[in-house]
Amino acid sequence: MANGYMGKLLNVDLTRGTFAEEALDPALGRDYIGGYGLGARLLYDRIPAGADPLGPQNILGFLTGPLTGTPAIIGSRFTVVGKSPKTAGGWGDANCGGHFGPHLKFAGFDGLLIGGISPKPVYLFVDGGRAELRDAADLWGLGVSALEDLLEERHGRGIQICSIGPAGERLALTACIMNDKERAAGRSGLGAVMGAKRLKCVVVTGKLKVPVHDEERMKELRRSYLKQATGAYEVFNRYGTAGITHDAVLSGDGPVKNWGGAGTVDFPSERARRISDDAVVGMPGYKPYGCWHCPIACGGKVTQTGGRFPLELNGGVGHKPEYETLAMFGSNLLNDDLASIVKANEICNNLGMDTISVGATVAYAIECFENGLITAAQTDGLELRWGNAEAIVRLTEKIGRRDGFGDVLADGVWAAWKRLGQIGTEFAVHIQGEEIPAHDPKFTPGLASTYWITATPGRHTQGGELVAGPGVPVPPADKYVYQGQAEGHHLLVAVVEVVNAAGLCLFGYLSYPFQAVLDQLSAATGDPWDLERVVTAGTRIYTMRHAFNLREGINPLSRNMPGRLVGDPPLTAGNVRDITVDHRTLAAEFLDRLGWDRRTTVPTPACLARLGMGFLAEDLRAAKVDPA
Amino acid sequence: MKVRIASGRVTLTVDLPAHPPATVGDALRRLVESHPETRAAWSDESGRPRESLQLFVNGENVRYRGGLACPLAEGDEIYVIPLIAGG
Repeated sequence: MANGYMGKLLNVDLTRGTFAEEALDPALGRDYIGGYGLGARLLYDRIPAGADPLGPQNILGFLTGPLTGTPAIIGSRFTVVGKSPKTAGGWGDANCGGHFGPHLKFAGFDGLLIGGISPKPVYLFVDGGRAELRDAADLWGLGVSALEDLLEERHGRGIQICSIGPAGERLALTACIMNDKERAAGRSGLGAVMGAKRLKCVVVTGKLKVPVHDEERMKELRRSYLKQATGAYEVFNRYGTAGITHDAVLSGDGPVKNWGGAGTVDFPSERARRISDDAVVGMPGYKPYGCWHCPIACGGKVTQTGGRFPLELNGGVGHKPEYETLAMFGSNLLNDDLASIVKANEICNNLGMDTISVGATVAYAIECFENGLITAAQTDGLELRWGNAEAIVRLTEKIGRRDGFGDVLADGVWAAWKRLGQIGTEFAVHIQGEEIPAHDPKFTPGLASTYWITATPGRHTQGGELVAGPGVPVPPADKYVYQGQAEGHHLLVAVVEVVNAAGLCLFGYLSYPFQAVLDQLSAATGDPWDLERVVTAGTRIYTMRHAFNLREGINPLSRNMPGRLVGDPPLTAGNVRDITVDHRTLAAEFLDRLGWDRRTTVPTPACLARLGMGFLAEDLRAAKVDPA
Repeated sequence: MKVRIASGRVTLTVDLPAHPPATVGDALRRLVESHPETRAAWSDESGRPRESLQLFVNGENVRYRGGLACPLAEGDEIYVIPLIAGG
């Protein structure tokens, strides 16, 4: 298969300790591309409906795309997939950069599909097409940083590692899967799935080459498009996503005070500047770095050896916090102490936790405390006040270790709300268990559809108006007119499904002309890709992920929608005041456009036939989906 | 009158007529003339401010002040966010 694929998947049965190689069906690659597209198609057949996400029937997949590990801009990504223990047992996925994805292909496989539960802690070692399970007794309990150091000592520097920290071992639903010590496949609670399987890490190494249809053309495209950087390139290259923190607070895009605050009214501009742009890249020892072969290099290291929050790992050098972390631990908590956010970031990375979920859960706890719903007697003495940096850092550590009150919060907002007796419902900002990333639908109304309807709720990287790449022909529309948005929303959803499934980084999509995506897919796969094909393939992937949920009886229209996200009631101050997003109209018109039923969201047989997904028709007809 | 136009941590100043009061649209057109390096990012092919720009006058979104027709006063600050992208 000289078309961007290695042509092989590796099935691992942890219960039996066995392996089975499987040829990748070229038709599945053609139709579902890779990443979560391929993952959803494969796992739909292999995970039975009703399976326990933390049980042996769940399958944890690590999947690349045809552009992963190729000269494409930027082919660094892979996706972890599985049934989520977090979102009512629905579809789960998490996308990640770093170096693991390309090296998984260099090790010989497009993907790993890991089922069963190991009787003891193990790690999977894949070397140039050969795989083995190794004992991980001495690794269990280690933080991500020490783990990677130890494994590099053991196996040499040519390895790449995906691992869980102590949070995943303890099945925390805020747990994620880490690579490069500080890159996270963060969402959907998949770190807990890995922990339940007693799989501490996956180590890959190899020097195989990714075959592409036209390598010279790929190289030529890379040279050409690198000269055409546009869109978000400048800000991402200069600051990473830390460059947008201040502006997000000012505009109303970012969360302030657990989504209840009003931009710079509650978190003034000068405070927002302390956790944004120049303040972040101006930290001591700042040094930018990139994921595999990335020309943007949005990442960066900083040094923090003194002060109240010295870093304890890697000689005091840690990853600079990115926007989501800066917002969720910063403006969302009314915290302008940058050093504390750097420290919280280190804790989350090392213990293996999603900073979005943890920041949101800390916000919920603080608001409950501030309103007298919980007391210091419950919080192990922590004074959970807005902006109390010391308490925020200490609570973050406790969450990662399920220590005391941290145990109450370790499974995220929804679980904490239940464990605390359903207190502070207004403060529990999540959709079906997924905490909300730091972009507000009152500023970008189309996000309400993305957060509510997508198979993985509450996710900003799943397409829609927030991620409109340069050159995508979106019809012009007033974002606050809720009728007539479906065409543009559909286009932007489908495009992002393809970008993610192909193994491309969204920041590359946002920083180079969209034509690059089409040209690179065509050159790698040998198939002609145009916008029409992207829309069809993206819709197919979107539908496949949705079908997994329908079979579980999940109707996205029955999900909760926090009033704070859509302005119900509207804010009375700030730059998104007086706005109530009509998410029901946005969703209804989008469902009509997709050909999904307006009450059950089940795709019509005609819609399935159009997408070549007739095989779903019988299952979905039988699915027990309550109409909303 | 002098009006400041800021984006990120960079602030530029433009001179505008006070009577009748210049508008946000006037200020941006003047800025593109005096600082051509802003043209590509802030203007479309016809020289109009790009619709994707998020504009704030003294911290308030111009959507609440009449958009590009928002009148300006001496010492006002226009803040420009050229792009909001996911991150």
